[in-house]
Amino acid sequence: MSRRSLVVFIFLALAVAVFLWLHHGKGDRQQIKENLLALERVVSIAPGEARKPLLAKIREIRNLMADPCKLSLDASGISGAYAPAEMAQLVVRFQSQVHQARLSFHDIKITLPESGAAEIACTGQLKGLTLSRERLDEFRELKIEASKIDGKWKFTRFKTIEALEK
Amino acid sequence: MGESRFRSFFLPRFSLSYLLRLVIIAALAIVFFSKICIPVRIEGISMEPTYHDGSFNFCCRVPYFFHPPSVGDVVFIRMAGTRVMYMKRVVAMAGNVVAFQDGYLYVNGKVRPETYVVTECDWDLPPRKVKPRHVYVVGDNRKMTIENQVFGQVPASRIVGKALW
Repeated sequence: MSRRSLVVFIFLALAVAVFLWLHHGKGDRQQIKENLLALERVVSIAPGEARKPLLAKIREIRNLMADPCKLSLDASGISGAYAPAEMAQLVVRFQSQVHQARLSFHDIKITLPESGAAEIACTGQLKGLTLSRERLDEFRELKIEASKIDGKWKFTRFKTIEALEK
Repeated sequence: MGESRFRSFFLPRFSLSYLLRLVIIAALAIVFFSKICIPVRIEGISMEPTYHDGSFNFCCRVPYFFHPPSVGDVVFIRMAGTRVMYMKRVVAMAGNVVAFQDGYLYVNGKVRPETYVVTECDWDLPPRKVKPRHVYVVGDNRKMTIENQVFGQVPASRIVGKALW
């Protein structure tokens, strides 16, 4: 085997190894990431965008969240177990108080400790403008838990982690 | 001759060695700008007037390879990762007792002069001891209310690096 063929062979073997590593368990991880993107769309609202009716929000949230879903969002004072309808009310109330808002998740790390369960570590960022045109820019580290319910990944718990303690 | 050198510098022949050079430079740039000197865009007003909203800086990790953060350093604090970070100033170290009284910062019962603070404030915070392996960080903008400023003690392990300037 010539030196050039050896280099090409090693390069291809590395490429295959990286591809397999990246795609290991990708089906579940991909679904969870898509759910996070869907959640971003549910909460975000563009300026002038028509507010969706409560029933539509409940339908969207039911596809993403378990019933009930536990929330421990220290900064906002939201804590407890919420049904999809209650969560939809929270989202609708929040959207009625802002001119525009965009929720985004960054640095998403998904681990699958056991079959049908997932833990997600990420940073949630909420940017926008209130109705009184005050700037909204909050971000928190989040620990999210998800379970596979009837073949679909649904979020079961959201918890904020406060990095700084006054 | 000159033209040929110019051509070979800017438009080199596409060879295996050229490709290798390109891959090495790209890999080094990725490692440098993602692990050693992370570019950051500053959003928010908590570090005004030292750092302005919308300005640009780098989170440099090199200094903390050799020594831990010290008082006065402007540091970046990671959340789940380094895509979104807090930018704050270290004002006290582990074991120190920190308090605010009438807007003045007290460390171990003595007023700590803060030359970077340009506005008067009325912050009051009862004394608290910084836990082991933690540092106490605060933003420079004291025009903000104490409720609106995110500050406090943070594990030193969360500090990613120092502002380059």
